[in-house]
Amino acid sequence: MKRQISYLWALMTANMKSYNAERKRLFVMALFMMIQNAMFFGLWVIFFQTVGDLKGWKLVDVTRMFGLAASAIGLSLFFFNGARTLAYRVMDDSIDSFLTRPRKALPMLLMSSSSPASLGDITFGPLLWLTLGEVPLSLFPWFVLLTLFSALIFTAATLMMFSIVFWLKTSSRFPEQLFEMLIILSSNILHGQPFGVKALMFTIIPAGFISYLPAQLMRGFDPLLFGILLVATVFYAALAAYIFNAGLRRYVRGVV
Amino acid sequence: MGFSHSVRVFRAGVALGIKQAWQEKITILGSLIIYGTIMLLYGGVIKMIPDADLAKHGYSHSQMIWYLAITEYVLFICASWGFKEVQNDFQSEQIYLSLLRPYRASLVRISVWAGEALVRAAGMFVPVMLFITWLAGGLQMSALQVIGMLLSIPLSAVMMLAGLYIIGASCLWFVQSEPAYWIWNKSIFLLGALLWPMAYYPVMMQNIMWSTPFPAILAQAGEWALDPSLTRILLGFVHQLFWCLVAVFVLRWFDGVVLRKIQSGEGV
Repeated sequence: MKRQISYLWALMTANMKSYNAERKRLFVMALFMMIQNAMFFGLWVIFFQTVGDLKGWKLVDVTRMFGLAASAIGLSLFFFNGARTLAYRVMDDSIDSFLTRPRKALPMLLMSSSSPASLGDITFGPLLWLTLGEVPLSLFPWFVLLTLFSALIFTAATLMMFSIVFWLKTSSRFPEQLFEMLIILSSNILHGQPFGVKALMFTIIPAGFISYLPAQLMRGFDPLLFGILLVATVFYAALAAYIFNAGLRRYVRGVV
Repeated sequence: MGFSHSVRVFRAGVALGIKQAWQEKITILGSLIIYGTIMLLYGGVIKMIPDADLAKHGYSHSQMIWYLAITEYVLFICASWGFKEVQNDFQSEQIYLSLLRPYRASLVRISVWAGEALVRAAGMFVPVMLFITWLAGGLQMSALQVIGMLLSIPLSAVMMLAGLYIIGASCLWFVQSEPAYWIWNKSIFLLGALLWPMAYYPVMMQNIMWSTPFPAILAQAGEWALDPSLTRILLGFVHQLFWCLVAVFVLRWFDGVVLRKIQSGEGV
């Protein structure tokens, strides 16, 4: 276990070292990402100036949910952006370099790439909580924990979407479209939506587990909801690993 | 390069774009899935708006859903990843080959995108109309409104595509175009009133928005669903035509700037 952790740590630090040579780019991309997020969030601010609340949800709830989604997506893309490169790697066979090593391919693939702009997403969430989210500092550790769970589920969902390339001979655009859809759905209001929509968001597209469920937990701790979030995190992580490995076996057999 | 030559090049580019888009038909399916899911979610949000809040602006839930359906449709038919193709052309120095040809690189690129947009628009139109009719509880637009919408959408597309090319080529100055694209894209969302009509915005902000091209890109097309007055229709169309012409002239001017920058040896 200790060896596994130190191995993962080594992968992570190797990934982060790429920023040593391009710190200016890192900060510029992060800043523009924060500006972009703020502009999009402006749409909700304008909306709630006219609409008082949506079945009990006010701007403060949307602020917390949006901040959580931004931070979770940011964490996922900052540390595990390698999942998004899967489609390219399968198409140009560069995934072979992971298969020839003595360790499992999945952790190496996930931590092979990092998105500099996602640092802006990571920072944007807490800033939003502190300004419009009315979050006291005492609750920060709880919000950070929820964000970590969301990040794991988001990473799992991203991996599953890009693993489609093992079965569908397609360009990377289709998985990228699904990925963009996941981001959009994760930062939208699920509260008060019809049962069918919620069923979709809590099964095939786990956007509900990424933002809505943690946002409900932000309103107040519920052991049942927390238990469901824990189980969902483990379930989607296991499912993503299973789908990836099944796809990888197809690739190794030459079926892809 | 004469006008008739430009038209021939444009037609050839459109034909190529149609062919390319047809080869990647699955992205149309992807677009439909994403569009449908977004509309389902935002449609649900709109339906939750209390009647009293909607009455402030005189809109119905159905009109708001159709408004959003049209603005999202404009976004979906214009490929957002286009700017990266342009950036790749410049960064891979493919642009030097393009500059050797007897027509402008931007004309070819945008005509190909126009062809692709045509395929996406055609492929998505019927499913979108059927789905939104179901979601909104009926087609609340008159024949005149539908015609107006169909005239507005191509004008919106021209501005979007011109903007994408300029954003992509901005890598000559900014190294990477992504930050500029993010600001451009979110400006369209916010100042183009993507989700909610301009009536929801503070009056001062509306005045600022009218001085920008963004309402012409999105809001004007969507406004057809809100049963606008004749004055509003005419003003909106003039605004759209004005900014469409500005986009075309700015693109022509920008082509010259790009060419001079490359010829002076200050490429990417």
